Amino acid sequence: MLSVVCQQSDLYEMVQIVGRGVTGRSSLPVLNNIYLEAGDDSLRLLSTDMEYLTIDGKIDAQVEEEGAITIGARILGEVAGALGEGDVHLETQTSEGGQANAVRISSGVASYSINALPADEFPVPPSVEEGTALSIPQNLLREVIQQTVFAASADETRPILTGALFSIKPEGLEVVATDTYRLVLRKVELETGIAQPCQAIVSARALNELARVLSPVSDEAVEVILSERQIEFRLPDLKLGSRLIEGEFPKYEKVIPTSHEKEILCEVSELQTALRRVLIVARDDANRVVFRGKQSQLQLSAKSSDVGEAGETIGAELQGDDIEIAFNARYILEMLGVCPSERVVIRLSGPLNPGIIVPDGRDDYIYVVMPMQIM
Amino acid sequence: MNLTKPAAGSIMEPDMERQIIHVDMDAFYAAIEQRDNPDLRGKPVVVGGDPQGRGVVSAASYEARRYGIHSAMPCAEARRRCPQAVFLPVNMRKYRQVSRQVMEILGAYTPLVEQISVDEAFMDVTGSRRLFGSAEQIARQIKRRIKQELGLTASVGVGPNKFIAKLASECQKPDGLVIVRADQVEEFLRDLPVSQLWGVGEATARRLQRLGISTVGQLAQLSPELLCEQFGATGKLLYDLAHGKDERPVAPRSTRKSCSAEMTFAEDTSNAALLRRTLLALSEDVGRRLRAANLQGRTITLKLRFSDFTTITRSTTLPEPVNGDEQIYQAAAAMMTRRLLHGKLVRLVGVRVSGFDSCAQLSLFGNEQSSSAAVDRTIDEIRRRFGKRSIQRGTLVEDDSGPPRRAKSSYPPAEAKKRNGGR
Repeated sequence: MLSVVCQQSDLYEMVQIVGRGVTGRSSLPVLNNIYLEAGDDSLRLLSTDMEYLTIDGKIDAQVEEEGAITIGARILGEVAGALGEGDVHLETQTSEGGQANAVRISSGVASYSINALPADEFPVPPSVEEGTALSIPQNLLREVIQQTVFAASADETRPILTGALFSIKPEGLEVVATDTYRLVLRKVELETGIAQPCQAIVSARALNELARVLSPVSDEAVEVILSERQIEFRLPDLKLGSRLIEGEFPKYEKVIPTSHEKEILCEVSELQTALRRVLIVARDDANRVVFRGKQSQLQLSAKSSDVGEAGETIGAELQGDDIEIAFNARYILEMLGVCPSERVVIRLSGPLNPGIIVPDGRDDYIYVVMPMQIM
Repeated sequence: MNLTKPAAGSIMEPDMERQIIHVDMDAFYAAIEQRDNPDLRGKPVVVGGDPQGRGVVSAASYEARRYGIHSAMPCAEARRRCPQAVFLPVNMRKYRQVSRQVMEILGAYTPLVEQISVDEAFMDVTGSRRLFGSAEQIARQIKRRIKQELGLTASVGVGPNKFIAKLASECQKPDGLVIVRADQVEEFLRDLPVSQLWGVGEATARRLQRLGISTVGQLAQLSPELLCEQFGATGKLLYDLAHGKDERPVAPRSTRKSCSAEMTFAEDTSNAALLRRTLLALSEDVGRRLRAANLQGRTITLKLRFSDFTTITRSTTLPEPVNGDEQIYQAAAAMMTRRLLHGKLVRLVGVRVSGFDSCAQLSLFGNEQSSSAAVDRTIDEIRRRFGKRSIQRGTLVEDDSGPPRRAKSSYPPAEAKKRNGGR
């Protein structure tokens, strides 16, 4: 029977993280619970949807008795958050038949007895034993995820596009995401060489959860283990696993233009501010904003028959002929929001050809976005 | 009755009556051929059919019309009536190019140009008069420019609405110009046979005849109650048209809401395989037009009219907008169930795609996602270059019967087929 003492702050933090793996929509009631296991001077907390997300964390604990139990994620989170700082004691309680059916949680003068389900009802989540391994600094992986997953599709009817492609090559890692309207490609050089090139489509939902727990500053390594059906990201006290999305990712190399005729160079912050202002009107017209490049100016405008018009001009360096092209302003803003440089280069060919946006001075990040028709 | 009711949006001049122009090119295909080949001028020229003389007349020059040759007439019949006529194949690509030039001229006067076929269009010039003068002056300028710049003639009608403008353009063909002011509408319509009214087919004309009504003037005497009693919903339409009322706006292409194709069989049929083949041919037609216009829609509608003239439609909404032949066909065919057909004889089958993606966001993979889209694009290109019948799906030729036969015309649709008074 489980009996442990841990720090309230550790418990609360880990329940917050692991609780994210509980969808609350599971048909299997026990999957709404967090699995607790005491042993090895630690308390293990685990959640899974048996699909795209398994989160497996560990906190330091004094183990008085080894054992396991499952308890509702939401109630455990609320209780852990309500308790004051200091030691928290968790202990299973058994019914008359000897079956564990509750957890006693006590700290200082507060005490709860929370209904629980036995550990053996909790399904064994899919795991990775072996596979291709690579390691990547936390802060870099976090940046890569943030710079890519926003372009993945939310449309569940096309599962392949709801993930990001991880393509591991001898020269490094490429992460690609697309919803067919735009596509983002981020290249990462890796210090550890990879002998076997491989590809995997990783759920954007899992990657978003991963990015939340990765440190923006620490360069401590994340181990990435990739098997045929599963990927796992390992931190010292946390493992995040996800089933790979099956299917063939669109042939993205083909849609990245290799040439362009015109170039617009402008400040990210200026473009962001202007787009946000124009968007107030553009919102009413599917976010359509017309970009007009002329001499050393970039003119942005939007029009809606219901609302009215909006326009703004910002300074820009232009190469090539004048151009007029319309984009979904949201698509542009999303990219600018994660752009790693102060200036961007927009490369264009024609009003119906894909546009390319790259951070000025970098060749490891490419954003391809399709225009909208100018009505 | 209020013929001078202002059009919506004319707040600045509340009493401003709408000014609609209908431009109809004269014997368009034949005139282009005569323009490009001086040897053909003054001679009867028939465009349409194939070298073996099958098919129907798509266009006949005015010289040929004197022999009684008209659009949609079988070529064999035309040849019999006028053996010395010059028969030419349809060069749709050229006609479309000239059509674009015509539309460009019209577009110079107003953005409100609604092209209803390759050779005719409506224009709403209500708001153009300050810039270009009266509707009559605009009409004259258009005729002059078409003559000078394109070497062709057009018949132009001006009226307070589409219905009157179209009737006016037909009054003085070729090279006509007829202006009907709102206060002349009643007189203009009075002696017109009812069959000229838009929406009045043979059946309605016969029923009117039985009521002793043969002219629009007579029809205008009937009360709306009587007409509704006799003709149901059509009654109201008849009443409005008889009084020269037509509120339909001139709708430029970009605001198009749907794209459809339908076909009436030469003989009613219950043959499921033939129905499916026809549906495929129609899906191809709609798909090609959607792709050409860079549109895609989510709603697919199947239309069936049975031999007893009952018409049913069935619609389905897809998760994603489509414009591929195969996607349209699959959705339409899935709705054409045995239960729906019930062994009944089908007179007409049609397919419509609507629910367009209004934002017109282009896709990166466009159609590369599926190989069928690549096939569609290739076929579009082949047809653009070599003509519509240059390439056919195997299923459309499998049993020697070729593409399903239409009741009156065949590919390409004869000019006459499209002269049904707009949409």
